[in-house]
Amino acid sequence: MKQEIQQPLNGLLAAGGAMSIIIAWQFLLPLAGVPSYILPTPTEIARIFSKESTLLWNNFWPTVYEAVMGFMLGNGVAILLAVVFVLNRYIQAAYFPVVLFLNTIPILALAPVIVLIFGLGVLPKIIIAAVICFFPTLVNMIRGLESPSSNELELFRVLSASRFETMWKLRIPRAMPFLFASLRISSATAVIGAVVGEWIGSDKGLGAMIIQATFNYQSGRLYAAITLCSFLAIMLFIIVVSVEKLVLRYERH
Amino acid sequence: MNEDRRGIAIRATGLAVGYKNASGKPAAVLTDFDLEVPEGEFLTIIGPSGCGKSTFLRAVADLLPPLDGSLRVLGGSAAEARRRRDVSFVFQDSTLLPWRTALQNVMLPKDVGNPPDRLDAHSAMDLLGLMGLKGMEGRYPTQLSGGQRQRVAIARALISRPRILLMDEPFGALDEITRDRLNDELLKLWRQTGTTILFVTHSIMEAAYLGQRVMVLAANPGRIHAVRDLRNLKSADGGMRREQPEMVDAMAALRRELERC
Repeated sequence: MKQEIQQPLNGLLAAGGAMSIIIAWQFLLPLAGVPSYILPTPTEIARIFSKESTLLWNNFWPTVYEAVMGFMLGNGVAILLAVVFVLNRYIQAAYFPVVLFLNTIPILALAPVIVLIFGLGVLPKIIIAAVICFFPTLVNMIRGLESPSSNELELFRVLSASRFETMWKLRIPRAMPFLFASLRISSATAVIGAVVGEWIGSDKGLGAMIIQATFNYQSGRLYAAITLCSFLAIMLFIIVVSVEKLVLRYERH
Repeated sequence: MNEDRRGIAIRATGLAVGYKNASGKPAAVLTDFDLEVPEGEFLTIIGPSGCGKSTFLRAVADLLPPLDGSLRVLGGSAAEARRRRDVSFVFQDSTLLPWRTALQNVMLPKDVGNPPDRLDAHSAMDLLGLMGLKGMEGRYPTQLSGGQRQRVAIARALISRPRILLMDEPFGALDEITRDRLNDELLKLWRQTGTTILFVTHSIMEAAYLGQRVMVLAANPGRIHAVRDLRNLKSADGGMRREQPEMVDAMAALRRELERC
């Protein structure tokens, strides 16, 4: 039988687990002889945060902007395209295989091409983040829009509902749980897209900082940038989950 | 007695209904269907699985086009009756939309299509009250019991003031006590509104208790096996007690018909 853990204890265990790893990292790794230019201790990383806070924040905000814009663009286009595909099966039959094929190109292989086309500004980073968000949302949204039961579709037909009414009042609300499942994933992958874009050609942003810090053996700064990437993904995730709770509040009763 | 003056709700002549298979070839579920349902009748339909009980309801609701023969609903085509909202459908699973409250679900027919003027918010609250759901209008379907959900579905079907109510095993998933209570409430509604009701069921008891006439269908291919008239057993308002000896006899007769088909 599955062991059930009650709420306050569950939270304490999660915090305790994380603390144990950080403590081991802080005290056991130096004992094991791992040099700090390979893996600095948590206190050393914290010191970088207070010493270089201006530099870190100046590189944080461009990445936030690219990840958020990419998230909105990629998911927005995916949602619209899913609606078009479900409204018109002919368009879906013609273009879904093309989209499927494009998805097989690894984003790392595609990123230089996007930089080549859109230059070195913010736009290619947004587009890379968007591309990485796009496909899972498209597939999930199509599945969601096709999830109404045959009885539900018959109900709308008996009421002489138009195709757009059936889309707006039945298919889209039905698709919401599917959509949010993929938006949760997108909240992390959008950050990956922005960082990958900055690797290829940028002098600001967390991705650029990661590359520069690696080449200059500034491991403290490298780990601080990584921490900020993770922090950004967590923030986006929390925002998505909060909106989801609001939209799907009928499920909680 | 005054049926002649009332007119015919549904007339099927040589009707065949079914589905088109993947290669577009029609496969009839029902064939040679001849039936006349006078307006205001409560007709129950019973038969083995695959006999096309639901298929016939779907043809009347214009969810399936006839493959052959003719089907007249309230003097016109099934599509015309559907567009006028003269036909409502109640499914076995209540088919309530989980993101809408009970009241919003009852109001759905007003929110889509071209609702006739006879729909208004006031009657939605009245209907919920009539179905014994006063004070529950703000609840979501997950907060309602199976019986309550089916009551909301019936209220939603009634808000259009339909002249024909099609019910596809609406109480099939409910426990017996809830089912008996809803049967009595449905009979009361039928007496008050005079709506024509076509009611598909698996239960012989339900078929005999509710129906003025009971239509027994046979399977492979689906066709009418027998139509039993039970009006002479029932009081003037269509009622009878479940334990009445005539009721038991009627049920035994129906069971024999079902065994033979």
